[in-house]
Formats: sequence, structure tokens, C-alpha cells
Amino acid sequence: MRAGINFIFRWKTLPALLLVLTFVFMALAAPLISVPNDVLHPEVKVVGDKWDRIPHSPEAGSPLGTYTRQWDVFHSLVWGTREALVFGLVTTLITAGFGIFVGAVSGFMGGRINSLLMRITDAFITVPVIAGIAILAMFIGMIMAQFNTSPYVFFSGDVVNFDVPEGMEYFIWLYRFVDSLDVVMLGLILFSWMPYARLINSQVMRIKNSEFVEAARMLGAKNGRLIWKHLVPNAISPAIVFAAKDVGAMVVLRATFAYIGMGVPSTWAAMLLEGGRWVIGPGGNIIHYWWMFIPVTMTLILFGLGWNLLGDEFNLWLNPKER
Amino acid sequence: MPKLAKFILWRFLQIPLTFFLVTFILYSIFLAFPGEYRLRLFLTSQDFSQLSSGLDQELIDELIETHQLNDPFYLQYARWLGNIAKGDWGHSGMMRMDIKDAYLRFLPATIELLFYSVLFTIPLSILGGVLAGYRQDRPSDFIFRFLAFVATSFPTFILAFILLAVFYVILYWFQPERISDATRYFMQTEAFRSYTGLITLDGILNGRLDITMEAARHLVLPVLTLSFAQWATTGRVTRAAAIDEKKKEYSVAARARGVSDRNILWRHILPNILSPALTSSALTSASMVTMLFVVEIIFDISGMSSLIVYQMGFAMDVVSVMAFTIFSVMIVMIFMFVLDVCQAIVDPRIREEVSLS
Repeated sequence: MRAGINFIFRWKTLPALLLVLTFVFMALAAPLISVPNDVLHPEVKVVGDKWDRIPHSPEAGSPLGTYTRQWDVFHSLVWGTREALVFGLVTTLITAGFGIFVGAVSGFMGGRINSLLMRITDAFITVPVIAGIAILAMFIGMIMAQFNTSPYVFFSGDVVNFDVPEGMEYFIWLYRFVDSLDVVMLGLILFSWMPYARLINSQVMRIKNSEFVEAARMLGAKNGRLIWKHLVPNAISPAIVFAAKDVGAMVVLRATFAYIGMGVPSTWAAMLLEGGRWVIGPGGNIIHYWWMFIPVTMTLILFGLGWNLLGDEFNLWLNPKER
Repeated sequence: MPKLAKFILWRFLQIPLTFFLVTFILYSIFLAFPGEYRLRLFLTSQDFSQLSSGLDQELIDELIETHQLNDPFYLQYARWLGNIAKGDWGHSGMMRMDIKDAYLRFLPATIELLFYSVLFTIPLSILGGVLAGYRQDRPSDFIFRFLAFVATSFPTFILAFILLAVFYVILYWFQPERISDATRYFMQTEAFRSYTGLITLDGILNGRLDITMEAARHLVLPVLTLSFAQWATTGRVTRAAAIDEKKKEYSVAARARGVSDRNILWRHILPNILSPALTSSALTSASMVTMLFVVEIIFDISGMSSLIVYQMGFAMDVVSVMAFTIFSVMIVMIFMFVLDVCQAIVDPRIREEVSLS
């Protein structure tokens, strides 16, 4: 408890906490900060004439200007926070959870199983995420094609009626499941859990034979209890630091992959894609349409900065030696 | 150095091993699907011209028969590997090109970009990290940390567009793409012989330094973008290692004996942090290759990313996606191999480990 209070009141922690909490607040209070005028698509708010394709600079109704078709920049920034936070946290939690599970179990088992699992981990390290996503998209497309639907329909996300071929009726759940997957998220999870596994593994191997674990075993603790109540809590601190830094990175990577045509862009990614086309303004003037890309880039940087600083502070808090 | 040679050999053997593992896993996934998907891996350009005249089930069944795709798994897999060994890597219907030709055409651009980026990124991150760690908590360290944070969360393509706006549109110093059209047409004539496909090297071999310079100017922006996106992780690891080393007894003792700061930094601390820095570079090499393809796409360099760019929406050109995946894994393996050898050269402990086991 005392440590927690110390953590919050260290002056260096404040900016990190402030940044992250601001984004959380923005996500939660989005309807209060900026009122949507379309309930079905609350991320996009049209101010003015929606056929007007010229972006307008900041003015009374739109504090950060508008995109083409008069989409309010500020409104989309605020509402995009929800998607970004959810995506970053969910992806990181699943990734870290899986990595921690593999690392802890293989470290606890030791011996041949450990070296086999760690070799598999090393093999995964050699797969670039972009190749992972490409091959996943291919296999998913092949599964979808079994149901006689065009893969294009799958990737555009349209729900259509289709005739299920004979013998495939029992696998319709597979179609529904695969249909609901996000390729980029899946690829990021499958091909970035390895650092967690390695971190946890080395820690677990180190403390596996220490006295408190032996004592717990003498008292009759089962393997599951030993792993989750004794080993993992004592080994998890580097993984937490790593996870805090991953949250921002996941959101940025998703935007990057959306740019090269992989996956469905999130709200922030869509803003970046739109803004990127206006960086080179008339006559090469880079700041003529500044509101098209600078606010969203700054937001993304601050988002990443907040989580990175928080990770650093976690590190100092969990390793008092480094203070 | 027999120990080093042993290490290199042991480490090199992992590359073909990974190749067999990756191809084996990918091919086994194909077995869960009907034969026509596996058939796509075996089709030749003649088969394609047959198929384009009219697509019917009989023809597909016939082709499955001719390529013996109803055999047991290990025979099919062995035959596929045999095809690869023979240089018969399949035909991409979407690119209308044999995969082997695609490799020959697209590989040099990727290799060139990767080579110069690595040459720029790794020294940059190590030097930056050492200096920042040595001057911990001074303004230069603060700037380094701030830049490292910004670099990890700056969207790559926005950075690329900003660089293009400044250095291409306004100043016209550096251009996107791989080479200008005029030079490319010249390079296809008899007057220019392509020895390696790497334009910067070919220019020198042909005695045309102007072409080398032009290719180098086209490389500047992609290399800068890639480096900015990639240096931060290794830089941070190096900084942390430098801070650790600075506190150790040997450097304190060296300072007590009156060794100058500069000597402590470059003679004592730098050799000790090269090992963790190279480990970190090896671990992030997969993300470096990912960013390499992204940068290729942004700057319109037709490298290996061309294999997937045109079919992302459909993802049905099985052969080229397979070729792309296998290529990316292999390039990461080779990259890690080179870095590990460098590490074994600077750190004797690494090669001892192998000779013991």
C-alpha cells in the first residue's frame, strides 16, 4: 500500500499517469466532450455541408478544423480514443497472457519440455509480423472460400446471404468465428508473445528452486497453485513493464498496417490515412493543411509516450535498486 | 580461431533447419484444405494458360492427378521440396510471372535497402545509447530518451510524407522510388551490364559513378525513415547497459587511476556493451524486416513486398504469399546469423558456450 502511494506521488510519475488517465477519461467521457450527431456512426461528425471537399481550418464549430466532407477532426480524435484504448489493452493483455502462460509453464516443467518450448519460441521470433499477417489472411481466405463466398466479401466485412454448400452446414460456426476475427490483431498476438515468454521463463527458472517455493511444495501445494500463486507473481514485473510499452506500439502498428492495406483501419488510422495525403500541400507547403495530420500524429505520440513513461516508472517502482 | 569456426558452423546449420521447419508447417496446414489449393503451389505457366481457356472441375482433377496430389503427405512434401531445389518455384497467376523470376527481379532492391539501413541503424543506435548512458540525466540524455519515445510511436508513413515534402518537393535533394525512369531505361540497354542487380554496386562495376550516386540519393529517404522507426529499442538497451557498466568496479577504478573520460568510454565501456546491443538487434530483426517492407511500399520501391502488395485484398495468390513468407523468415534468419557471428567475434563467452555443449 505504502509502495503504491509512493508510486503515485513521485513527481516523475505524474506526467505519465496524467497522460494515460487523460486518454482514459477521453475514452469514457467522449459523449460529454464532443456530442455526436449520428448515433449509428458516433466516431464521425459532419459539421457543415457534407459535399464540401475542401478541408476547413479551425473555426467556431470545429476546434481543430475539418477533413474533406467536413468531418470534425477534434470529434474523431476524442471518439477514436475508445477504439485505440480497447485495441491496445485487449491485444496487449492477450499477448502478454499467452506469453506468460507459455513461459511460466515451460520454465516450471524444465528439462526437455522447456527446451522444446523455448526452441518453438525462438522459431516464432524469426517470423516478421507482416509475413505472419499475410499468411494468416491467406489461410483465413481459404477457409472462407470453403463456404463459397468470395474472399473479397470477407475482407470488406459485409454480411451477405450465401448458399451453404452441402456437408458444410455443421461448420457454419467456423464461418461465423473466422468472420469475426481481425487479421491484424490476430497476427500481432500470434507473432509478438515471444518476449514475454522468454522474460518470464528466465525469471521462473531463476526462482524455481528458491526456499519459499520449496516451502510451499512441502506444505502440499499443487503444481497449478505453485505456478500461479508463487512463481508468476514473483516473476511478472519485467513483463508488466514490457506490456505497458506495448500498448502504444500496438495502436501505431495497426495504423501502419492499415496504410499498406492490411486490416480495417481504426478511427485514428483512418484519420492518419486521410491526413497523410495532405502533408504535401499546394506548392510543397507542408503546414498549409497542418490540422489534417499534426493533431492526430501528436495524439498518437502522446498516447505512446504516456504508456512508455508509465512502463519506465513501473520499472523503477518494481526494482527499487534502480532508483 | 577453431572455436569461432565451430560456432559459425553450428549457427549456420540452423538456417536450413529453419527452412525445413517453416516449409513443413506451412505445407501441413495446406493438407486441411481440398487439393486445388495445394495444386496452386505446383502449377506452371503452361497449366495456367490451359486453365485460363476455361475453368472446369475436370481439368482441375486432371491436373491434381498429373501432379500426384493424392499421394501420402511425405511424398507430396518431398516432391514440393524437390521442385524448389530444381528451381521450379511455382507460377503466380496474379503477377503473371514465375516466382523465381519475381525473386530475381525484386530481391536486389530489398537487399540493397536492408544492407544500407542496417549499416546506418545499428551503429547509430549503439553510439547514441552509449553517449546517452554515459551522460545520464544531462540534457543530451534527456533529448535521447525523448527522441526514443517519439520514434517508437511516430507513424512511419507520416514521417515518410514529411521527409518527402521537405527533401523532395521543396528542396529536391532526394527522390522516392528506386531509380529515375531515364536511368532505368539506360540500364536496360546494352551499354550497361547488370552484374549483381544492386544499382549502387553495378554503377561502380560499370565505371558509372553518377549512376551509383543517383541510386544512393534515392536510398537516403527510405534508409532515414527505416532507421528512425527502428533505432529506439536497441538504443535504449545500449543506454541501460552503458549505465550499468559505468557503475561497475573496473570503470570506477579506471577513473580513480586518472584515465580520461573519453578513454573509459571508448576503450572500456564500449567493448562491454557491444554484446547486449547486438543481442537486442538480433531480437528486433524481425520487426526491422517488417518495417523494411512497409518502407518499400511507402517509397514505391518494387522489392519483395511486391509479392503481397497486389493480393492483400484477395489473399488468394497462394504461391506468392507462400514465397513471401518463406523469404521473410529466411532473411530474418540470415540477418540474425550475421549479428550472432559479430557477437561471437566481440564476445568470447558466446563461442565458449558452444564448444562446451
